[in-house]
Amino acid sequence: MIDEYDVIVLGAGPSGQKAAIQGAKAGRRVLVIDRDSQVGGACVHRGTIPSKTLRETAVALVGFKRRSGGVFEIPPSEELQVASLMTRLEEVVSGNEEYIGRQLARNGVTVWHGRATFLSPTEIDVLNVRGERWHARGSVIVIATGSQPRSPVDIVIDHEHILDSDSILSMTYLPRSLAVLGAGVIASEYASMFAALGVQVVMVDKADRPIGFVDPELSTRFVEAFGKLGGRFVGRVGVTGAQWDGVGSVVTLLSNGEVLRTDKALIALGRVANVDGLDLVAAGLALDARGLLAVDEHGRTRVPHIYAVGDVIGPPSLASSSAEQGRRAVCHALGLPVGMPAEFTPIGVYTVPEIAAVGLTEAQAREKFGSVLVGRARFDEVARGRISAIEDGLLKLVADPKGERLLGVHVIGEGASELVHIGQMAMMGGLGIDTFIETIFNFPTLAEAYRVAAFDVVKQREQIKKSAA
Amino acid sequence: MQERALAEHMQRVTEEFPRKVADALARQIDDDSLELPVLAGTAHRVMQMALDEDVDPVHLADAIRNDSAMAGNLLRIANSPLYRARSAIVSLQQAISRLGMHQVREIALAIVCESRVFRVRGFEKELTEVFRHCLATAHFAQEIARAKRWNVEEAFLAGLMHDIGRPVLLQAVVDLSSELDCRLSKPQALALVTAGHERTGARLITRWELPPRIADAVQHHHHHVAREQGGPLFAVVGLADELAHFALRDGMVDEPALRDSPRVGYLNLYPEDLTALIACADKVRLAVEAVG
Repeated sequence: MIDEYDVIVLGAGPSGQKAAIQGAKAGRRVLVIDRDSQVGGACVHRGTIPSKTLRETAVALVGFKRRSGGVFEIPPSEELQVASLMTRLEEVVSGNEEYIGRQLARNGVTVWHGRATFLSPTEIDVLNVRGERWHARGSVIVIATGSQPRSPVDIVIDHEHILDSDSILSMTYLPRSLAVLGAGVIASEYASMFAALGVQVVMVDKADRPIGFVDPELSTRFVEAFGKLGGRFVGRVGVTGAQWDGVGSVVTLLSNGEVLRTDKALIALGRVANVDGLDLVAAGLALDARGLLAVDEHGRTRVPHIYAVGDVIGPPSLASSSAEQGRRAVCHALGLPVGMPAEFTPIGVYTVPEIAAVGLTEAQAREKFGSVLVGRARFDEVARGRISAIEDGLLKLVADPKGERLLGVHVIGEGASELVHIGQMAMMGGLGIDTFIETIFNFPTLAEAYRVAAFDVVKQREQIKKSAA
Repeated sequence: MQERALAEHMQRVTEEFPRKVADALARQIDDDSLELPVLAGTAHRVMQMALDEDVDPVHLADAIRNDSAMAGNLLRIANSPLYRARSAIVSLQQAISRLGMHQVREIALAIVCESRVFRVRGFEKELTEVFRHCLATAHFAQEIARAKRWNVEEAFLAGLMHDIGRPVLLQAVVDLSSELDCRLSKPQALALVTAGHERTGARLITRWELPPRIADAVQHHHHHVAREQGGPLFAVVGLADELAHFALRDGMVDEPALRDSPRVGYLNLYPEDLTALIACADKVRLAVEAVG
């Protein structure tokens, strides 16, 4: 017997949840299938939530030292257990899981625990852990199965000495030293987090800077901040091998001849789509050359009623953007209004310090508009930045050539992921640069940085006018 | 008359004696008066060092060298077919560099347990079997943890220690039967150590100042269902326990029973995940042969 559904969602991570809720809110029969017994996906159980819980501790340690003017310091002890730095984790994870489960139940979404396989473009076979099978047929199918860490063929990840982002938080004790191979979001987040906790961290990558998709000015500042935490970034260098020496170190060989000896190594060289066992061929689909599912701007695959969202379609692979992709895909599939274009989706990178952005980078804006005006505000120019001892922060506004329209906002510094939303709202509302000057912000707050950066744009605008006159 | 007396005596032996010892044992367990083995001297130092990820290999080698029996045992294991390299290993330093610090730490832990706890006069053969089962459980627990991306070393230790309460209770049974003048047969004595071995093991682990998560997993490794408290380590050890029975072919668990285990579902292991774990059986048996 086959159960019929209007929408079948494969995966219960952020994109799957939002897709399912959207379908249910539209009054459709929705089924979610997840191979994990708990909903939430990697985001709740292995990724965003656990790592951010550890990050809170790291940030608190760094912040305590800074705010006390260096008078007090809490040196993390060698005996310190990683689990003890995440004492709230169980509570945080179960809280999220319960909330997601309740939300799905409240909206009448059916959840099956099992592994999904396409039998045809509309039919799904589900196998549970006890070996039982069910079948379901869907008018719309959303693939939101997420991703898993990529394992390089030449490095054995034993999850004991050489770990990936799924196993890094299983370490009992903080290592004395850590080599991080990779310089993407996950690599940079863990590298800076462990550096903040007192671990000697070396981050290695072929790229010349970490988190390549963010504004270069921000990633340069990140490298400086990472250095102040005791970390070292080695760019433009390949890894020719990494292995546990069997005695006490992981030995990493770099293409420049350098040999790194560290207690542990984290392999964070990207992620691959979770499509094992899905039998994409039966659905009429195939992965592209990058190992991802290709979709159009609505998240639709080449099979019109099958959508793919979240990590399976590749960057930015952030929980926030994935959730939005899920919502928009189902809206499109059901013929509902989709809402504002996704270009105003912000990005947040939870490094120490945080990085956030919305809109165009300076380079993208120059490419599109020829010339642009850029206003900057360093956090040490803002009273709240000095009070909170987060002087290394920077807010950057990218404006059109006339210095009137806001094209992008880029922030590095603690609170960046919250602060960016002011710029996001301004851009969505079509507000100009002058709005930040005419608006009264609370004092002292970091929001003041918007006013300082806006003044910087206006100053340049006036100079251009004067030169032209 | 003589026959009747003999029959009565036999009944006392089969019913009353075990009950007397069982009652006394239960009292000792309940009021925490059970005598627990103390780790002293080299054994204690080696145990502490073996649990320290940052231990200097030279210091560990020095500590083991102080106990000639332990050193000899380690070299014997290092030269066993599982570990041996092309040439014989003749020194502890060489063993560490050949086997790797990690293997040496695992072996040292196993030797400490075996030599300080799994020794009860008259029960050598039975306890060797229990110890081999513990070693197999440790190796399977390690593989389950690896598959689940959980802490591998913690799982090994919890697996190794999961039945450590049994020899402790067996020693108590032997002592009590002598004290109370109740001679017990081997099967009777062994039957008495089943109940309460988890709690006794957890107490010993706490006494030895090992991580509380290990004590928790050992205390609850026979739980079949999800617990509200503690992490999933108890289920890892529980399933490893079943896999070890299966791999060592002691007749207690067969493959259908293994696949039906509620722990498989609790740990969210799909049929092919379990197949991969079962496929480790040969490797585990080799590791057990090398040490046990």
